Amino acid sequence: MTDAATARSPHLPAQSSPAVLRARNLSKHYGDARVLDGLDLDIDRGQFVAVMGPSGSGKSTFLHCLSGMTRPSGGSVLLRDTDLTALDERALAALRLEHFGLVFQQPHFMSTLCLLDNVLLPGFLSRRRPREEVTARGRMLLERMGIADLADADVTEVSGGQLQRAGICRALINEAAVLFADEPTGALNSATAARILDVFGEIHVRGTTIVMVTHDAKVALRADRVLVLVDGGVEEDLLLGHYREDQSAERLVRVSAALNRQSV
Amino acid sequence: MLTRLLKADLARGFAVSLSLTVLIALAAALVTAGTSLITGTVTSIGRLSAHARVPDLIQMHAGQADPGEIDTWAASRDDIVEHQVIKTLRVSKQTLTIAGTNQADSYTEAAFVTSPEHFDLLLGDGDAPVDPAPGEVALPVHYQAIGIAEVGDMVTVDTGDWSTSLRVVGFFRDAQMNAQMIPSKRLVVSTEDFAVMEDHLGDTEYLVEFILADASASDTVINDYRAAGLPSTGIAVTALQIRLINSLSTMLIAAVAVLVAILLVAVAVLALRYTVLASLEIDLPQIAVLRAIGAPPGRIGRLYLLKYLVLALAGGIAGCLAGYPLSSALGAPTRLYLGAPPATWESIAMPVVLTAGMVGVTVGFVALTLRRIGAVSVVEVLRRGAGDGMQSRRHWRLSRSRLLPVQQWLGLRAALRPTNALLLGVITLCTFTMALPTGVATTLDDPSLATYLGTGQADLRIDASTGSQDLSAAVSAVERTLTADSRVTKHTTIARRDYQMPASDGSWSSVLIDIGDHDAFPMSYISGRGPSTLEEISLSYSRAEESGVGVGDTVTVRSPAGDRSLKVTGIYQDITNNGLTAKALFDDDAPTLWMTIYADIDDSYVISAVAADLRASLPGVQVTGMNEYASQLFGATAAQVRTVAAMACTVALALTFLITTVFVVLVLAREESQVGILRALGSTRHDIAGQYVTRLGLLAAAGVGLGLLLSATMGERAIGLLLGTRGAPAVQLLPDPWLTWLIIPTMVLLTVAGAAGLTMHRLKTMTLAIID
Repeated sequence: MTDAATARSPHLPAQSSPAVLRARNLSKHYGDARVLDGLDLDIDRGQFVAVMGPSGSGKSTFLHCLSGMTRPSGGSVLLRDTDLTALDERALAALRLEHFGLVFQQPHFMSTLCLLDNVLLPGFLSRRRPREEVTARGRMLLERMGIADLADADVTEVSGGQLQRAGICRALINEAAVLFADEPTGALNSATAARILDVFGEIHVRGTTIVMVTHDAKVALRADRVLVLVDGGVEEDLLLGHYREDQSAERLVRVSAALNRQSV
Repeated sequence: MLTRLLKADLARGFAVSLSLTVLIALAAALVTAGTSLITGTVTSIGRLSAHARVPDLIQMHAGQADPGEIDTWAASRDDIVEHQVIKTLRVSKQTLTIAGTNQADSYTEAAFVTSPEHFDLLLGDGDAPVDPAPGEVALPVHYQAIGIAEVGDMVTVDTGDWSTSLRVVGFFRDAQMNAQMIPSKRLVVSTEDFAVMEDHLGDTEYLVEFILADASASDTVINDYRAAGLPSTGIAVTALQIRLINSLSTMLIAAVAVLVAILLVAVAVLALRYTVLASLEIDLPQIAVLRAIGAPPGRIGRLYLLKYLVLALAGGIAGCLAGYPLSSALGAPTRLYLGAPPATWESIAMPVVLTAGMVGVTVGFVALTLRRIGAVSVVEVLRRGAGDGMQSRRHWRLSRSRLLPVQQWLGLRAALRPTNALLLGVITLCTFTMALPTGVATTLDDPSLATYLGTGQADLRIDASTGSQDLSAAVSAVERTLTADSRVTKHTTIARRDYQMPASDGSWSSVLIDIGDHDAFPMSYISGRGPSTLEEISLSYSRAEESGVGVGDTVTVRSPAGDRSLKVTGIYQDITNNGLTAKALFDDDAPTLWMTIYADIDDSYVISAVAADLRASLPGVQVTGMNEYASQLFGATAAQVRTVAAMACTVALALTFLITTVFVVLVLAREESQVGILRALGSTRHDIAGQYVTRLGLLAAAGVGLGLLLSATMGERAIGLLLGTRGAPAVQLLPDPWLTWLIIPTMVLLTVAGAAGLTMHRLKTMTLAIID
């Protein structure tokens, strides 16, 4: 199958595929401006999906609709059998807390809490596990991200890269089924960005589904699947398979070609 | 351009702008009303004193007197410009009926007089001295003020064997006995009716009045007068004391209004500072951009200053306009008792000038705060973004919290931040402002107030004063009746006599000494004990202060019979008779001013029945329940304090509401990003509201607790300092526990909850758009 053929194929896997997230006829508009326009998409369990597209293509809006942060204007979003659009605010908040992890481009942290407390916050909020256990997991995650020595640091005392790693720890504290990341390396230098991407790779290997918005082809090539959004619709859907470092160049060519086709 | 920016800014923070404007308006209204009341009262008193020609010195004398003697003595002195002797006929309360109501239970003591001709004038309508015709009577405005009588009503005196009825033709202002808290009232009748009454109402009292060349020399004159052996069985009063007592009630309200206004201005300045700092913090990126493109800090500052100037001016003008009707309402009793104050340019301009000054001070503080704009580091702000400026606190770790739910933990920790000082301070002040006057009002209504009246606690007091009646016969009759009454468990008789005692500067002044058995109804002493031998004396606090003596010292008491040295055994509190009293056991032949018999009744439920029986069987003496005595003595003051307490509560609750509103709106604006993060992480608005409820609840509870504590400690001390000048320095407030510990805290907490409930609606409109 050529890249072009792949791009034009429907974005729905076969009926038997274990889709964890499904969008059906998803649309979102702000006044007269249609940001998402009748979008259909299935994301399989354990898949690492990169969402690309030019500015204003609806990448972030798409991510917000999938993660329940924004209510779509039409259509539905299903987490397994649960329709997010039918949930009230309380249920939606509970869903974000228990099943989703969010990593933002800007490190949005509670400035009054130290780094460890920020990481533990969703764990304590969910009350699913004893606090001792949550704390131990938080310390373990910080350790794994290489920032254990910064646990008691103020959020103003650490670098952007360290904050982003802490943000990933926070997203993982409740063992999220799906990790959403909006330009997680956008504000970082290339060396730090590479470390963050390694972390995403590790998380993906452990079986977590990841949906990541990025404008950088070098970041997107780490994903199993790359979607290119243009004017609120999926114009390219590349299935790259599991990432291997020795295939980086070839994957970069494919992603770049898809972007070129869409004049991105 | 400026107007557009201003409009946009005002619209954005409408609730805060409105609250600040109302706060300034409230302060301005109180400044205007308070100033207007004070200038009005001062000019009214001045005007009334001038028109009525208030004497500089008045010596009271009960019993018979020879005015000729006084005329001769006065004529021989250069320091006396004018004098007159006014004869009054005291009428016992049981025999007097006004507009169908018998005055037996009244606090006021009425006496008939004819209208004075030269000075101490009793002024009716149009400031003309009243001059009733035969069959008519003119009453003091007090009776009109408390709604006892109207023109056309009848005043009847019925002694049993003689009666007369007089028609009320008008009311007058009595510059000397005007004040509500003075029990003596003069009723003016024609010379003809007075002559008839003299034959039937034998209880006479003389007012010996002087106008002096030098009003400040009244002490010398009165001492010489007494030394000359002229009629002087009663107390002496000076013009200054008359002015003081006249102004006291109105001034009390005016002073509280001004004090509350100062408090409001302070709170307004704090609230504005908080608002300005919060706005600056929120607008920091814009300010940085403006600075980056080269706008001078001064111009940016003026932009903000303009907004607060508009708010302060709007509030100031609205408050000033509202202040005049407020002062008119609060000053209604003043106008009635003292007459309408003449409109002078001071009375109109002073409130406006002071209100303008208040607005100026407020804006000045804003200008000072705005100088911080110059200190904003452009690069720093543009590099890191505005942030919320809050740092974490090292000692508070969520990871160490084991039980408290997260939102409550966050709320608790936020409540302990210094930025909450504004709300905590305001709630503390407001609770204090409510609790203290309420405590004073309930104290004045409490029976144990007798502690401060220089007497022991008894159920009944029976007063028999000198006059035409035979005092000892009257007292014997009372004692016989009490001994025979099985309901009376014990009683004792105390004689009150006037002596001289040296002050610390060596001059001699009057002291009223109670002579009798002081152990029968023991009273509480600040220090020491009561006298137990003939050579001992206990002094009231003010008397001890004036003489500069303490327990263990020796004082000299002078009577016509000679000097007597007595050892001071104790100091007690007494606010009656200017606080200048003493208690001793010695007995001499000095004239007795009046005698008081104290009695205890076996069953407290029958006190009023026993009092009624005694009144019926003992005409000519006054029988009063001690509770009733205290409440009547303080009745007028207590009413004033109740008004003040109600005013303070209203203002305090309004202030609590306004500041809570401003605080919550600003806190939510400041913490919008934190709310956004919590929501993105999976907290509902309801959960987050719980955090703010915890925070505000803790602040409100702490504020209420601190306010009550302050009221019970510092408030009581302040009242002690104030009453110390009146003779009761160790006053203990007796607050009504329900009112102080339940109703006031509940009202404050409900007000905070109401304001928070209204403003926290804003949480609903907050979207997650901040997390992009």
